[in-house]
Amino acid sequence: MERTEKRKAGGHWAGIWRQYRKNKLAMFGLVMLVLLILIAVFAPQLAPYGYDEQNPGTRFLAPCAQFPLGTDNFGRDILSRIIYGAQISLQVGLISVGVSCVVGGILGVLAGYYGGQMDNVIMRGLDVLMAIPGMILAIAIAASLGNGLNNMMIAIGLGHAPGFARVVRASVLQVKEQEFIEAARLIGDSDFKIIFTHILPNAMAPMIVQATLNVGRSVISAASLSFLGLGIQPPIPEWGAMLSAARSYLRDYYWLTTYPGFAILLTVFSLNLVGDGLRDALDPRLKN
Amino acid sequence: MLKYIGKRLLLMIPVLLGVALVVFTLMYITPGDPAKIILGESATEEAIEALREEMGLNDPFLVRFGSYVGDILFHFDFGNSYQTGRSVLQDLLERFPATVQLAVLSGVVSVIFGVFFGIISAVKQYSVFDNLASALGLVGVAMPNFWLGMMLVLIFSVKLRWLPASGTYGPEYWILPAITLGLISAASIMRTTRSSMLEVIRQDYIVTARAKGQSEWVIITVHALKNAMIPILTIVGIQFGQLLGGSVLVETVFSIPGIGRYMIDAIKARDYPIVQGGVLFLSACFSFVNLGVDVLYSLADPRMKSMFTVKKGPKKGREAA
Repeated sequence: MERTEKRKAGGHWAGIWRQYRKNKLAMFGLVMLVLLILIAVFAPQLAPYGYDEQNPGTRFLAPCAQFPLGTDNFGRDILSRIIYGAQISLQVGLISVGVSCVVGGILGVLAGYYGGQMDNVIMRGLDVLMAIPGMILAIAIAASLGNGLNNMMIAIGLGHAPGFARVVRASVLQVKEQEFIEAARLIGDSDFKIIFTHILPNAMAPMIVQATLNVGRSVISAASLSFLGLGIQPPIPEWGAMLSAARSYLRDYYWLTTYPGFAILLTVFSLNLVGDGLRDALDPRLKN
Repeated sequence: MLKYIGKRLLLMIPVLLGVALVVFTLMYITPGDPAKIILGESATEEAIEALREEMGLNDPFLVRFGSYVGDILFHFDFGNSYQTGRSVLQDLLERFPATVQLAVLSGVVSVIFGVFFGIISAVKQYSVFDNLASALGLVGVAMPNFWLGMMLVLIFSVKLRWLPASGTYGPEYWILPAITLGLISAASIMRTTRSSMLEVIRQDYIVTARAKGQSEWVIITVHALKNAMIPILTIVGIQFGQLLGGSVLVETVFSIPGIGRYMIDAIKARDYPIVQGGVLFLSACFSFVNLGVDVLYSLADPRMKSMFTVKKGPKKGREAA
């Protein structure tokens, strides 16, 4: 640190936040994301109707004052279903990324930290998984596990784990070679302690970026699996499942397919903006 | 060069064996008895047991996997469909052209749009066009492709009546599917092209080229693009994997009889030999494309030729995928 430059208050994270705040697009994404989270949390208060409130008298109503985004083939309010759907999508996004962080993280750390034979075995295994196009792998896992929210989150998480493991491995490899790791080893720290207190905190930046961007990808994967009938089943208001059910009415009732898709688009869009912003703030070298 | 390609082809064998093991295991742990699926719910216990014995379903896991792989390697036999009894390989080959046609057409769409707009964005950095293209690119990567497909159908088939909405009865039927699948990849390719070009056009030799009076067109397409090619090729290879995965969805939206739809129908009918065969088939395609991309590297950058002589070629990952 230059002596002339006055050190600004706050620690490492405050600095990152200052960097992040400069990026208008990223701030816009963050605001949208916070709004979405609030919508998901307060869905029961915000939604004008229940997500499965059927009414034969209001089938296929075009958007109007009473139903701002129209109604579907069961007479359910689409706006309410989209609002409740935010709960599902954000949950799927976060938990499936959690799965890939844990699985991919463990594999990546083991491969990167121990190297040698361990690295070889893990990397060849990952080569195999990476040879299967991501979506196809998620489809195969989902087909094997069966339908349902939990299985879908596992399928998506495992599908993204190999890519995550590579990112973790690469950044662990970088940190591992530095002198303070050697110092830690010399004073007799255990591998476990070195990994958790020295390596991971310093290898965090690419992992956080990858994880944030993966949330958006997971939301799309979830919608895709549900659209194919391999994810969440009706009447749960998952956006992809709504689109799948609405497909047969595309010709006559455009609002059934248009609005749930916009919900996906906005969610992933804001997540990507936050991810890009974090990448630029955490590690300018990663900027491509 | 040929030696390198041969080596990579050999390396592909263990990888694809691994893929076979993964997908075989996945289908193995799936609940449901194939013999019951074939004979139907009304079949007697004895008949099911007899069929299980005949199909080798009572054998241990490794024996079953061994015979599955053996059949593929030595007889080119991927097994038969539980439902129809037809050869899976034959069915896959019948549906392969539709999937390839979709993947190639949308690949062309994505490369043309992605590289072209990426170059213009880089050359006219911070112009209105650049900002607009960047915004569209951000929206593009945030869209599920099947939804884009439905919206295109809504606009171009339902409202404007310009293009057919589903089926494969002529060239015009491929336009919407190719655009649907291609545009989303184009967004990623455009972002990469833009940043790669931006890095290159700031370098000294571009200034030199300009100083010696070279036309701007030649500078961009010959001097700059050639050196910006490596990241672009990498992302194109990655995007091809996305295309193969995305084709499952687009085939569903547009009722294209390709491998993706065949697999999804098979999953719903618990027809596992088809799922296994389909995943293996698509993974093999993906591996071949990746090999092709690695070979193209050397054409784009002579320095990369050294990788054909080193012991192991650098592995490209799908980190960004």
